[in-house]
Amino acid sequence: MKRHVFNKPWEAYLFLLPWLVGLLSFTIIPIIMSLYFSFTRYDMANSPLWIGMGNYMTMYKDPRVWKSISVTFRYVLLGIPFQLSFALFLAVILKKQRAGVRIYRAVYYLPSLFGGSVAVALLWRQIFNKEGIINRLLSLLSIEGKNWIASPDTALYTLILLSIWQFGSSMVIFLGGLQQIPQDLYEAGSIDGAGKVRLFFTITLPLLTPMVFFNLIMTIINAFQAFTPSYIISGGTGSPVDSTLFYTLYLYINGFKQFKMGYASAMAWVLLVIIAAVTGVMFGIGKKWVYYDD
Amino acid sequence: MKRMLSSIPALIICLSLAVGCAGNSPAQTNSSQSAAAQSESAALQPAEQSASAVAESESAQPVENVEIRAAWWGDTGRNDLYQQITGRFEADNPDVKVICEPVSWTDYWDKLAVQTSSNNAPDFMGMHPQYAADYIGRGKIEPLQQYIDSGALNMEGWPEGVINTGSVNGTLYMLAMGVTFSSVFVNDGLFEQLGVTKPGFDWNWDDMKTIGTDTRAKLDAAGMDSSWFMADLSNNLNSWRYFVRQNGHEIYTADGEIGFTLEDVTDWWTMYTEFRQLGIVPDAATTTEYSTATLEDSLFSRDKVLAILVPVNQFKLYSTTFPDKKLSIIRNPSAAGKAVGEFPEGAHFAISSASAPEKKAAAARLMNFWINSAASLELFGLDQGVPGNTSLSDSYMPNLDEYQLQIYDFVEKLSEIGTPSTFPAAGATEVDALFKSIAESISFEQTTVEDGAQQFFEQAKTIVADNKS
Repeated sequence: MKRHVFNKPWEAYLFLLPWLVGLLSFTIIPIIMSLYFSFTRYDMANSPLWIGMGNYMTMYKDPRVWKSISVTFRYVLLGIPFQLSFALFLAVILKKQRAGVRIYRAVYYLPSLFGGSVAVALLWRQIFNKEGIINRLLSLLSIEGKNWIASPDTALYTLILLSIWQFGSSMVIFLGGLQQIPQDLYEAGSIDGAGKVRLFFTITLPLLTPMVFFNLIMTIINAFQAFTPSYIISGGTGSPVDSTLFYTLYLYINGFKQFKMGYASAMAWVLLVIIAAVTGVMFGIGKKWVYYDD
Repeated sequence: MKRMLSSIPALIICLSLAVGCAGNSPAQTNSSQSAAAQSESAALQPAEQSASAVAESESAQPVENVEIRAAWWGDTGRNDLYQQITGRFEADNPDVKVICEPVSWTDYWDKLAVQTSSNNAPDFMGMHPQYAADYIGRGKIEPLQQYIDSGALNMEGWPEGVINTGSVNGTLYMLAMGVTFSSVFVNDGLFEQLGVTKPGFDWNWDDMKTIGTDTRAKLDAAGMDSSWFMADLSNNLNSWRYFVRQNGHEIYTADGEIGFTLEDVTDWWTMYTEFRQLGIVPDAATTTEYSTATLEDSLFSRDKVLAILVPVNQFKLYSTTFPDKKLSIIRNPSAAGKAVGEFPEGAHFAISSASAPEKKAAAARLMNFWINSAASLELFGLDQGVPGNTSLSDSYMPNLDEYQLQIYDFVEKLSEIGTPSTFPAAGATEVDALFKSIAESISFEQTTVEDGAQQFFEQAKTIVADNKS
């Protein structure tokens, strides 16, 4: 079997070449370079200077790194449960074959299509400003709203709200999962006298755990890498008072605004380790609660 | 795992591209449109002449086409104006095509840093002394002497002092767009409406407190509780720079060391904390909200502040952008019995050292056209201050409109009292960011003035030292 791979005609590799060149020059080589840069002081103009673990030591002592990690973790931990529950809730509602259900599915998916975009981040600013829609609605109830986006204690929550709004792709995956659940299980359950809630928690949810697990992993990885919302809404600074300083944003500020590409590379590798560790833990815990029907 | 890893840099690059494009593409189409319109109208007048000239030169030697990218910062009005200037340049130089990349002031420095990092800086660009050291120190800016020697740049009529504003350690890197001074624009109409006596031409920080307090009372009486006397400048490094100079110091010494004292920072933030508490300047959240606003959307535009600190050259821009407001110019607040804070300032033009030789040459021609031709000055006027080419600006004097005359007078007056300042050291961009972030933290009462000032003083020293090695 193994020999077979090498017995392929050489022309095959010729056809693979464009992809190989792309993979090497845009993925593999940059990854290796960034690992090397992470051990150097490098400002992209002068040649890199080897400083060993210097960048990693500086990171350990840099309060803004810790601040950005805490902001990012709060974003991930608070945003994802809401995002996934909301996606599941809508998927259950939209599962039933009713008239116009396809239109609803499309409509609910829409925010995900442009959810992470610059335009929506700008829109978000308008909604949560001092004179934004939210405060106008509040003023109808005679409540004077604050400036949600420009206050350190609420700014991050507006970003979390923005992330919950992008539930579309998780919803589609849940929908697919729901439709695979055999109908006869529900029938058997109803005959045994289970109500809707009981059916959901004893049949739907357990059989859906592989989808929940998949969505969880994907959204966690995405959330750790979130950048646009904070970049646009805070004007690229993480303001107010670093309350929206995502890890990726601080990485960007170091690399591209302050010419510290070595430090930024070290940060990127630490992020990789964090994501890998979190994903690894998820897989470990996943074995305990994910039900595979085989 | 590979996917994840690879998507981190890819994500960043995509996003920065997206951000760059978003600011860029509409403006670009704009520029090509107005450029086309411009060259059309220019071509109409001397139609026969230029047609035959072009035909001749085409037969003599084929025209080499060079495409250069030109970047500057500015607001809508300025961008329209500058695209007309590049349009005229293109009409005069059919072999050069100029692609304009106008951006707002804050985005400009983000974008330029990213472009420079990837060796993709615009061939012709606006440069500011505040940030220049970070680019010059990394060899990203082309020295200009060779273009003067070759005759591409003609420095006739330029006073030595104005040329030198673009020199670092004896090498000329950039040429002044014009000479300007910081000033405060006052919304006279609003002061009259409120019945507050506006500050005089020469005023000081004590006046700011008394007039500001008076204004607060009158604003409250008029029910304008979300308007203030002036914007909060506690996070504005340049504004603080005048304050440091009033104390007889400089932020950076001539040798590129830290030149300010701990008291200079402490006093500044103490003063502004008081202004904020008295309601003379806006609360922290409002300041943050408007920190990235465009001119049309700014606190001043919305009558939320009565006065604003702006380089005087923008007086015409403000007056024409806000025709309904009655504006006048006064000085930046001075410190009673202390040194003068103001110094001759101004933006500059520079050429990227990473560009191809033929693009650099074309960029030098554009620079020469921009600052040394009557055709350009007719449009450019005093938009960036009084032009460095004195013989040209003298001949332009009779054409000054009422706004430009006020700019000219102000620059004349301040030239007599202003004293030269030092060049910001490498690392200035980072120090600037640090200043903003600590000032913000103080304004939100997350840090005390004393702690914040101490942090800034220590960390600024470290940054400057790190950038030396």
